[in-house]
Amino acid sequence: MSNATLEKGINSFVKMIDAPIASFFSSCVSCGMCADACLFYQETGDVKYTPIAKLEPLRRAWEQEYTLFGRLKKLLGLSKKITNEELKQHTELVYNSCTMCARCSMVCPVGNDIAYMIRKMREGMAAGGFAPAGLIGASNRAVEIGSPMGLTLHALSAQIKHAEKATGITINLDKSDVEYMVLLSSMELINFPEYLEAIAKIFKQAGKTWTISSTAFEATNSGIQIGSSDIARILVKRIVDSAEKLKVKTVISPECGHAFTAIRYEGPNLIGRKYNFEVKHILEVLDSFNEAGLLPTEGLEKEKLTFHDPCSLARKGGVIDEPRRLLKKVSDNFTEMTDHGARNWCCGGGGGASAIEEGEPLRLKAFKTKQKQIEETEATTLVTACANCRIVLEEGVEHYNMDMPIVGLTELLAEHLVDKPKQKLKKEAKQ
Amino acid sequence: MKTITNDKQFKATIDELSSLQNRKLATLFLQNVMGLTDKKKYQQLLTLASNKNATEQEYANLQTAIQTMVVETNARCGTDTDWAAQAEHFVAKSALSCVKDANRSNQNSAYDSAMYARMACNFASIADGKSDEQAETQAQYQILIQFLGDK
Repeated sequence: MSNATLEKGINSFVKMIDAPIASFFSSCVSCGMCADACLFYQETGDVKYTPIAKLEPLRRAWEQEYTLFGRLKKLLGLSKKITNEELKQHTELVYNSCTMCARCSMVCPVGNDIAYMIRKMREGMAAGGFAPAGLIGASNRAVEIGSPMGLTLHALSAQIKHAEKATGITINLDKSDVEYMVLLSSMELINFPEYLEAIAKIFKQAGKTWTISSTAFEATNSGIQIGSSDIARILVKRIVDSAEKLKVKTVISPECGHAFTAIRYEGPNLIGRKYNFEVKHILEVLDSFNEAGLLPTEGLEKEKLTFHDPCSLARKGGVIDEPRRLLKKVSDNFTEMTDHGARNWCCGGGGGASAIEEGEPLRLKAFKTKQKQIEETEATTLVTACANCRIVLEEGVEHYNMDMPIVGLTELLAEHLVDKPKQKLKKEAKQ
Repeated sequence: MKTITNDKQFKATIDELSSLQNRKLATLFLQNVMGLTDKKKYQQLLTLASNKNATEQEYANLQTAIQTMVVETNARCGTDTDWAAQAEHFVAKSALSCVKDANRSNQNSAYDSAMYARMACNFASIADGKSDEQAETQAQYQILIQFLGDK
């Protein structure tokens, strides 16, 4: 990297330092509790993976620009300069070995939101050209093609056609004045096309109207992952424009963790206004259908189940009880992992980490805690609600020779759906 | 001779088959999409399927190898999708249906194999514009009819 880009990166760090970041750095007591909460530190024991230590360049930028002592040191030439080499080394620390799972934020005794700080540091890293190639490619495709995985409208149409044939249900593109606009992640459409079939079956059963936008079907927000608010804003705006044009009441985020927090919590701040519609995660919607008696299921799973909480959904998004209520509908043999809900352990591939090929060995090493907790349950099937978690879990399970299928909760529910006419269901719900 | 003209009939007929018949049929569906992948990868499976004395342990051993193929061909989040490779991924999933423990699976391995084979065709059609999922569906109906006749 040239000095110009280094300067751009450092300037971007300085710009990123807002009141929360400044107060977090001022408050840190170096207790190290964040280290014990981090899956990468936990499995390697290497201090460089201590979450707060991953932010060292950002901390020095704060100290040198925003503290009296730091500015004096800088004037006297006593400060340690941020270098190209240091930022290159930090690419691994803030991208490959951080999934922004926020477990460190949760345990910090002084309330520092370290995941937020990492998110801000990624902004500086991306601006300075220090983001990993995998994430740069994904972000470019997201902006240019509309999908980080290069899924075009042609490919989406082929998948829709496939789902229509498999279910016998028509799936509408760009239908206005419907209740729901369903977002999908490329990961689902490419690896788990059954998800779309499950949605079609469930919504038909519930008697709800829905559509997919041809211009904003993608839920994944690569801007959040790489650390570019500009890209994140473009991707959020695409969804907002489509939802408002189609006059839908609710936008549904799919089984994807970060996509949910991106559109629901970060989105309004990114575009600087409230939405004219609600944003819900698919599990929240299914839970509401269930409460209204619109999700009748039959039969129970034969296997013993456990559930992996996607971090962005549970810890950051608060969707914890919904999946458990839904699981109870199809299983009387469900067991929790030692750490679950808000305290769950990350799969190791969130926050864009799974898109970084060179990070795989570390990711698999960091999977050990999850492996141990899954094995302790003695469950024979692992359920989750995030396509990315599902792939990373599949890799981990395969790597550690665990014989365990991993299934998506929405698909699992669809398999147990009772085929009943809508009117009969409504009558039953009233009784 | 039984006629099968839609998926409802297709699934209902498969549901009536035993788990071992399911496995045999699953392998026939897999064989029909071998053109989308390197057939050599599945030679061991095809050999095993033709062996009437094959044991569950032999299938279990093969399951591990095929599961690895499935995982290795997963498209990772954020990667630029290779649609032909993704077609191979679904062929691997179809193959996995053929080797699942006949005592443990819910007797629908043939149906799963068929659906994954269709998905493979769908991805191949995105890649080359030539493959045809509809033609594959019709071919699967014929395979099932033939299978029932040979039973």
